[in-house]
Amino acid sequence: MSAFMESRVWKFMKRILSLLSSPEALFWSIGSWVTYYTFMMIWDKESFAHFVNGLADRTIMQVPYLLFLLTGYLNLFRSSKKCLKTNIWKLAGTKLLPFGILLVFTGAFISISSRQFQWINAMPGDEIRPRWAQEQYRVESVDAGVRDRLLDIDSEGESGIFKYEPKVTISQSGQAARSIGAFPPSRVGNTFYHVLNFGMAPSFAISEGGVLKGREYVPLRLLMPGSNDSFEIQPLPYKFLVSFEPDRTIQKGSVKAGEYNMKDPLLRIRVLEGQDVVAEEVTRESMSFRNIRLDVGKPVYWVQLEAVKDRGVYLIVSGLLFTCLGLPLYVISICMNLLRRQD
Amino acid sequence: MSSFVVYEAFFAGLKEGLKAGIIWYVLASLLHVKGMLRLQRAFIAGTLFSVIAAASFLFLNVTPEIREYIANSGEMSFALLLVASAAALLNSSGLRLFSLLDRVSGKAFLRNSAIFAASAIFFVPDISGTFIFIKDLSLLNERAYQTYASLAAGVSVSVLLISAMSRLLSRGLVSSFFELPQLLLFASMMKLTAGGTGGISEISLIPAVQRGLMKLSHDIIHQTFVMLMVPDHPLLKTTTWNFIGFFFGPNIASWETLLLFLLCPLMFIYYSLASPLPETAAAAGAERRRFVQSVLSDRRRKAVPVLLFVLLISASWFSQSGEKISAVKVPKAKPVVEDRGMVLIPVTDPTMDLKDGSLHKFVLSRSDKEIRIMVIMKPDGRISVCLDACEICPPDGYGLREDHVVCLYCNTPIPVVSLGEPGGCNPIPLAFAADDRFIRIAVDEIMKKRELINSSRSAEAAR
Amino acid sequence: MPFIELKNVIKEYRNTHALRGIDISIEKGQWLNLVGPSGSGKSTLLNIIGCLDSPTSGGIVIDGADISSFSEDEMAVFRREKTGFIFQQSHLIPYLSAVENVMLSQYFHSMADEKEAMEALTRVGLGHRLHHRPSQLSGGEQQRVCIARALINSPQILLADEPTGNLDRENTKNILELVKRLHEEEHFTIILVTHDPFVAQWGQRVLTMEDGRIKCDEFLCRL
Repeated sequence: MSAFMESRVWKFMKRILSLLSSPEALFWSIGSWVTYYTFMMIWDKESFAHFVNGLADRTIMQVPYLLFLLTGYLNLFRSSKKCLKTNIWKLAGTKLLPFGILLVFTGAFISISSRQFQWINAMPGDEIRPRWAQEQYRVESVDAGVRDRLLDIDSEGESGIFKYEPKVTISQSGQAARSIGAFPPSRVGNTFYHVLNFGMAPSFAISEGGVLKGREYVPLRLLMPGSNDSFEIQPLPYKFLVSFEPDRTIQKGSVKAGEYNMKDPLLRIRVLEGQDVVAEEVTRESMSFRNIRLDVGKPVYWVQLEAVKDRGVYLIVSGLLFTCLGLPLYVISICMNLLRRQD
Repeated sequence: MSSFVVYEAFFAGLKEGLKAGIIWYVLASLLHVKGMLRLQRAFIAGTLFSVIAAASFLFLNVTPEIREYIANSGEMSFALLLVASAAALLNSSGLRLFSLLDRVSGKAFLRNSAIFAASAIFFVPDISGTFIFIKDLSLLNERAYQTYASLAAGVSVSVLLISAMSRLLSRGLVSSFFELPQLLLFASMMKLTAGGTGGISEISLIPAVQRGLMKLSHDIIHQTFVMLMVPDHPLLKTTTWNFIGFFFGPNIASWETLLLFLLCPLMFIYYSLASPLPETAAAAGAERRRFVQSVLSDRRRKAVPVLLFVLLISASWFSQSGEKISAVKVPKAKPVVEDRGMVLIPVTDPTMDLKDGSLHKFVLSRSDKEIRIMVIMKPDGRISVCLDACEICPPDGYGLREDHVVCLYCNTPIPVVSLGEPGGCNPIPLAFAADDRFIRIAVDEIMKKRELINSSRSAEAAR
Repeated sequence: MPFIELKNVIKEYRNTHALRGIDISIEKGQWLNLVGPSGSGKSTLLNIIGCLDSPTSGGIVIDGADISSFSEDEMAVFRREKTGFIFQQSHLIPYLSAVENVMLSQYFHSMADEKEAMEALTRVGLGHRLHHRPSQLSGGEQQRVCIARALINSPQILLADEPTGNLDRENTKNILELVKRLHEEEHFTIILVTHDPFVAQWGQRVLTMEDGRIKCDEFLCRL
């Protein structure tokens, strides 16, 4: 009886496997997705976002997608069996492309459904730890790569203000320091990091009635001439507007440009109470108004890091590489096939 | 005006009559050869049903929602037809996609029902749209009966043309080029090139298809690079985003979307040329040659409509997209001020009318910062108010090209009808209140949404 | 039922009676020679059977089909499918090679197949002359090409009009032996027109014509 059941079960499984590895199953799967996508695109005008969000957390979309991947791999395996034994070049020519595409789809699914990311703002000395990570890292330095002296016309050109690409150095106790740039992302442990944004954080110390109330680096969206930002210090009723001020103005012919010291910048600080300007001063040391004194120190740079844990990235990159390699090979194999038939 | 109305009505009648007539003739030729000419009655019944159903719109109050529904139905019926033709082409290339259907297709009732349903799905949206268009035209004409008479004249001329065609082209000749896949593809080609119901200037569905496919192309590339964590740095312009924009700019994206669209027909043509010959009892000699010649000749004939489809669509694709690459209109931003925490934008003033359907921009200066806002009335009559920036790109803003707003940084076209959706390359929507005189936006809303510019934050919030 | 049957076939050209009521029945696979003096109507009869001409009156049934009522297009299709011709003048295309001349016949029938054409020429003993032009071939070799060309499409009837008229005795014998071998292998019907008594003795039946009529119908005994 058990032998009978086993063989019956086995036969059933074989039938299912045979069905899933058939080209018909794959094309029905693709056709269903195309029809669904088209339906959503026409009636909802936004289809891809639905698709991605659905894949992230809705079982009713994840299951058909996984079935589609399964039929794809089974079909690839079935059609590759012959070539594996006879002609390895034909295998490379015709199967590399679909394999690459399947890898991309698989990586995409893993990425969409399991990716975690977090934006972390940090300055030198801060400890950073994404919520999923066990390890904690210390930000040793933030090097913006900005030139020490800038003219305000430099900021109009592309990358005109940088000596080199900004980088952040992080370290863990007992381990060598790691450098993180803007692109490509750097892998640290099981997390990818890259620089998403950065800016200047001038140092401010506020005293009220001669009593120091606080001193800290204030991260602002200040990076290049022309940029400005504001901050508030609770519970003071003031808003501080900060912008860069040129050290001097240079004129050559009809062209006039301000020169800025980016290492120790001159700042224009405007103090607002509501809509009224209470004080305004250009300084790199201090300013006073009413019974408040604001001391300005040398700035550091703050950085916004994007930390991502994504198991799908390697599959996507591999898949793209295989696809790029496989596409010309596929075209060549089609041409050779056509020529062979003509002969 | 009345001559314009007459021409448009005549053209509409001619177009719909030719569509129905040509498809009927090709179908009848195919059925005649297969000895199933009786099935053409199901097609004729389906077409008549479509006309009667569509005629109801002449008497109903047609709201913008109904118009949109009919337009969407037309696009949907084209999409279904194209998917069916792709499946049929693949089936005839050797894939047994319809082995289950083959078992039941022998039943006459099912065949008749299938043809009836297919013709109704094909014609109802088109004819409904045409009747609504005619009804609109008749309102522009003092003598409304002229519009309907022109429509009837157009249909009559199409009947005459079809009769002439049927005398010139024998059924045997026509059917030698068509099987079911070719017929479906031919019908989808007719739908694509003549499925529009907005008159001569909006005759085809190609622009709608291009938009959808280019959005797909953009979304896939965008999503792939998001997954690869490519940042868009605020200052380093030599980042990969510039190259990404290359992939979904109008030129490259046009090629990508055309190849995607033509994938199945091209696969079929390749299969026609490259697939092995079936076995024959005759091993050699004249009999074998005769057999091979007939098989190859049949394959080549059957590939002709598919090739025609490929050539026609390729030519139309770029001829229409050429117009699409034309200038993006970027209006100048007008200054607005805030008043007690609100920004008020007049709906109309001597220099503008927000309800004219074009893009309007405004700029609010605050704390030495300038924040641009854009306002546009969508085709459904609703006003959309957004920041002139998105969450992804540097805030270069948007321009208007036909019925898309186009990001000036990455060239992504966003359909105007979809404005108001947050996230991605969509302009960041703003909550607002509107009456006949003003659009009111809270400054707090503007400042809050301003934080989203170039930040991709709403994606994180959504997760 | 005979393979080819002619009933009271008459052919008149203005005031000339080329055929005056011909009645013949020819069995399938038979080798029939038409002999007679010049102007006796042999070639006219051959052309009518081969659908190159149509009778003024009378019935012709070949393989069950009444060709006397065929239109031009139908006769062309019949010629293409059922018959092969060999003429006294070879009528080979001078700028095509031997194999290309044979492939031309294939092309008009269905499709060209070079390998099959080469095999056909090898069968007729021209395997070493495949790519030679007609000007590089002798008279006998040219006729061999014509035979290969005529038989490449497996016709049911081979019609030959003085095929050896331009050849010497040696070559005539070689050609006739070749035709005989092929006839024994493939069993097609042969109708051969000749005025040479030597040629007339090859085959199975001799029909003597004179002045548009059949004078004598003789079956040759073969041991």
